[in-house]
Amino acid sequence: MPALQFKQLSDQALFVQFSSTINEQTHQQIQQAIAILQEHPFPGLMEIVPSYTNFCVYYDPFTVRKSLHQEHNTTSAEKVQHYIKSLLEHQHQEAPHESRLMEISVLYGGENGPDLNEVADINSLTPEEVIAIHTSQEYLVHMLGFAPGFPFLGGMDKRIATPRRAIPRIEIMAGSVGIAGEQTGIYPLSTPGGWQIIGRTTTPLFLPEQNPPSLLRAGDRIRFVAIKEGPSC
Amino acid sequence: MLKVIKPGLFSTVQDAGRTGYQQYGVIVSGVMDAVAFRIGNALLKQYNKAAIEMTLIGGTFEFLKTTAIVLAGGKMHATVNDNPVPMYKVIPIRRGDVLKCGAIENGARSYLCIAGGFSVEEILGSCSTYIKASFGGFLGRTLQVNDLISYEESFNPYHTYQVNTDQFYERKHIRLLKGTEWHEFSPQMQQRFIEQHYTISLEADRMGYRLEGQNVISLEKPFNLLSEAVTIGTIQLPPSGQPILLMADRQTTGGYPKIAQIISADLHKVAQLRPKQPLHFELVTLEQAEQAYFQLEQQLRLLETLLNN
Repeated sequence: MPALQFKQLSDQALFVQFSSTINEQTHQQIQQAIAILQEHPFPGLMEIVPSYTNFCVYYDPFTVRKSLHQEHNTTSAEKVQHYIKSLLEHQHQEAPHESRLMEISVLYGGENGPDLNEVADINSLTPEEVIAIHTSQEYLVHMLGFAPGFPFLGGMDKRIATPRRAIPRIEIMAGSVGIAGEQTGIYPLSTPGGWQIIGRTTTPLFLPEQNPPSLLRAGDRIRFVAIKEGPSC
Repeated sequence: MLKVIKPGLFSTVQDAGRTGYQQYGVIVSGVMDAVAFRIGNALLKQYNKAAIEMTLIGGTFEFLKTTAIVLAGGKMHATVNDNPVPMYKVIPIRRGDVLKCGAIENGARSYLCIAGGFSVEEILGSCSTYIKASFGGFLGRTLQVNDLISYEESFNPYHTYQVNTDQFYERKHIRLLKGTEWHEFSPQMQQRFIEQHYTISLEADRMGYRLEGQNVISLEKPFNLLSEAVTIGTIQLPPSGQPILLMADRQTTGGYPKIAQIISADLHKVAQLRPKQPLHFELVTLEQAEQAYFQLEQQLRLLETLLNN
């Protein structure tokens, strides 16, 4: 494990920081550390929320104070920090987290992807080339956030990077696949937004009736597959 | 069934919130004022049962089954069959009774707690309404005229105590911790942020409050923050220089610098602030924040234990 940094988000939430830059090694370390902490939770641990370079631990300070006995630490925050530090230091490096590969079918262009032509024009490509590049990569799900089931993906080819729209759309359809700068993503719900929309998937990402309620999890890899609108779907 | 005759300004079914799913981007939701909600339920000898949260203007409701209710939170003028009824005291309800709630006079949010809680579908462990995703609570939306919300008939004996909650809301200043990006701001900006007077703007809802101050708070050099977890009470500073205070329906993650964090023990007071109301800050240490939380939690647990016997 690298040298961990701790920063308190609140009196009930603690960031465990692994690095300051987005990279796959950091992502793997975060996933491993979360797996270890889930195996060995402390009393009062409520939930863990990963992001690009850290994870956030939500805990109940009242339970921590009553249950975690440490001589030198007075505050619950110190107790939690000490617990996580010694837990992660004493764990041997485990095998890399097994990553699932998920295929996301996308209807590119037309009314499903109204900005496909603009993305092509800006990058001096044909729409077909944009689709070919977008479907050729595997993307890593670094984290979920912003909206339920919304994946923050890494690994987009810079050749199709496109700035956000100057004027955001009032409504982006659920399932829309978009590009913003060097990022690509999928909107699980209809929301306003400024992303360049190149296509749409019919695969629901947010599954409130299921547990977990999200098709994707941090650590998954996804691949976009171009499909044509068919009579049977 | 509870029949909604008038829904009030903005009424939703809420409980203590949906925890454990933020890693999937599912927000916590839940009541804004957890102290009022807990005491309201405790008077009915129950814990974390779904209630109706009313905002600024209460609603009018007809009860189609016998039960008992408690009105908690911001003080409002309320009547049952035109007879005034108190806050924080069990009100026995017979079939056909009509509860009229007026404007909330002292605070911003009031709760209608009911024996056994409202019987709405539990999704991901909670009955809270998540409006943006259209699920949870009552049909995933605010209450509307003629809605019928289920509850179980109850003839249980009830307390005749009235709880005075003034002590929980007395303190004038809202206590803050330094935020995770506090040190990205210059000492002058830090001082300005703590000392200047803010008011809650008209853009204030369950998701968060935009705060208005005379002078903007800005960073000396741009600071690029990656999206990471945010929580209730987090104060973010977007490039506009006017802070955003996150509340119950906040997103799970955010990318604006976090200048400060309201301590857990003061969140219920913030929940009762109204648009245009002033807000004064006081910086405290993490140790003080924990102490204040333990004190509040002990008082609430003691009250819950006493009322449960």
